[in-house]
Amino acid sequence: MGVLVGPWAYLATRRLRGDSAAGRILRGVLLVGAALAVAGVTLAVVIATAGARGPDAAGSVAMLAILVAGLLLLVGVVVLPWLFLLARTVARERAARVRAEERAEVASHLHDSVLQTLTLLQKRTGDPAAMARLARHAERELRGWLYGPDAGTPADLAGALRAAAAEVEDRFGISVELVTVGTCPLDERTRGVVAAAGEALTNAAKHAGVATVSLYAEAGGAQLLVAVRDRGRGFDPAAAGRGRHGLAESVTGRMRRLGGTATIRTAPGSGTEVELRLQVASAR
Amino acid sequence: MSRVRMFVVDDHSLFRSGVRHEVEPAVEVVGEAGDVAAAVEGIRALGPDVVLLDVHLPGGGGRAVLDAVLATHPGVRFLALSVSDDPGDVIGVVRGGARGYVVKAISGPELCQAIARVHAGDAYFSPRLAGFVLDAFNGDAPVPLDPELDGLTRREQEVLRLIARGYTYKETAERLFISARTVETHVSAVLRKLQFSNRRELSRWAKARNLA
Repeated sequence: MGVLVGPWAYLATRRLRGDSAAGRILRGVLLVGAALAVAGVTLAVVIATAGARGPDAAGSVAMLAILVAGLLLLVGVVVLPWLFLLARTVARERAARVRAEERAEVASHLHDSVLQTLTLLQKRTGDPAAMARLARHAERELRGWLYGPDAGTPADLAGALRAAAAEVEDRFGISVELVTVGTCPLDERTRGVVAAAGEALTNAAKHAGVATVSLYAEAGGAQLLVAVRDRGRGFDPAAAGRGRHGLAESVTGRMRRLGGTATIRTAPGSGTEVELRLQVASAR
Repeated sequence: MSRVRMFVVDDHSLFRSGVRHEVEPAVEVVGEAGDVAAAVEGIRALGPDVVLLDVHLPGGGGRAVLDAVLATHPGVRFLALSVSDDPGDVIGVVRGGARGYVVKAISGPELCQAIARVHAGDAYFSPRLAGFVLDAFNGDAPVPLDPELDGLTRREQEVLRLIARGYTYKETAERLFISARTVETHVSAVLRKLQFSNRRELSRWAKARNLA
């Protein structure tokens, strides 16, 4: 039995070397087993030399002690490490599978967004505007994936504004600097404000002649505030009859119908700011 | 006035050379580093006026550089920057001692302005940072621990709100009929509150946004 157990114990110890807890248990079992065997043999020798019961009794005591020690060693050195190794292998396989799945998901996402864009960019080096647009689109997507909430249809005001800003960025090749403070759920009225904000953004993108537009939203309290601001051409509000229809009707008119207000602050050469305000039932 | 001596800490060498190209000659870039250990060593050796510090850095992040340098060289001023949209990280470096925060997409002239402002001992808030701070202080605290530190005054909120809307300090001053210097005073006061407030809501807020 020793011949069989020895190599196995050696192998198991080597495989468990990295694991200090398992190693300690194994060493403990070995020690107890060895101590038991030695104690049994010593007892047998003591009984035999005392000669009280004769060699028969001494022999059977020694035999029993060695048998128990062997059994203990068998369980401790062979069965326990085997179970332990088995459990560890299963756990490792599961962890590896989870890692592989995660990796595959990241890879597929990067492939669909970043890799595709990089490939496209290499083909279109002659068109800086298109390159910028592609890069911006990829950046936004990656950001959304890394930091944003789960993709899908936006559920709140901040998400809806982000989507509206993204659409204007893609359509007109400008960048929208979005800052939101708090957020609120979407309903018919807040959706209307998002639409008005989108219209104001579109107007800025079309007429201001600048590369960046700021979009700010503050929500969560009794009043919802959205501001769209550019440092572009601006215009004379008194003379803004034609061509400015978009701003007057779809922004001011829309806000009025929602029961809110739209204030336009502008002058030729000093940019335009459209401020939308709406009273909402306190969301908090 | 002599040129500002700046040290650039960012793990992308391409970005470091881009910054150098954009701010020179208005700012003198005296050194650069790509990780925490090299940054701490370089800053201690060179003693720059301003450190441009990436929030995300191998070896402990921008926060580790702040902690190590400010412990021995409290006079060095930090301007943090990142591409991250994570408010927790940003508020973290500002609470760690950075005097301002800008996004990496910032234009060259704006970056120079931010550096000059931080160098002068003022605070520089980008629209995004102003938004984060408003958000962080907005949560209604049941019992303010220290009313001096735990809330923003009405005026400070107005200033932050305009900065978040994309107004420059000068435009903010004009809109509120106050001097540009007063705007700077308000922003510096907000920075102080942000750095010294023990408000539990602040860390809870940052944590919640981290998970979101």
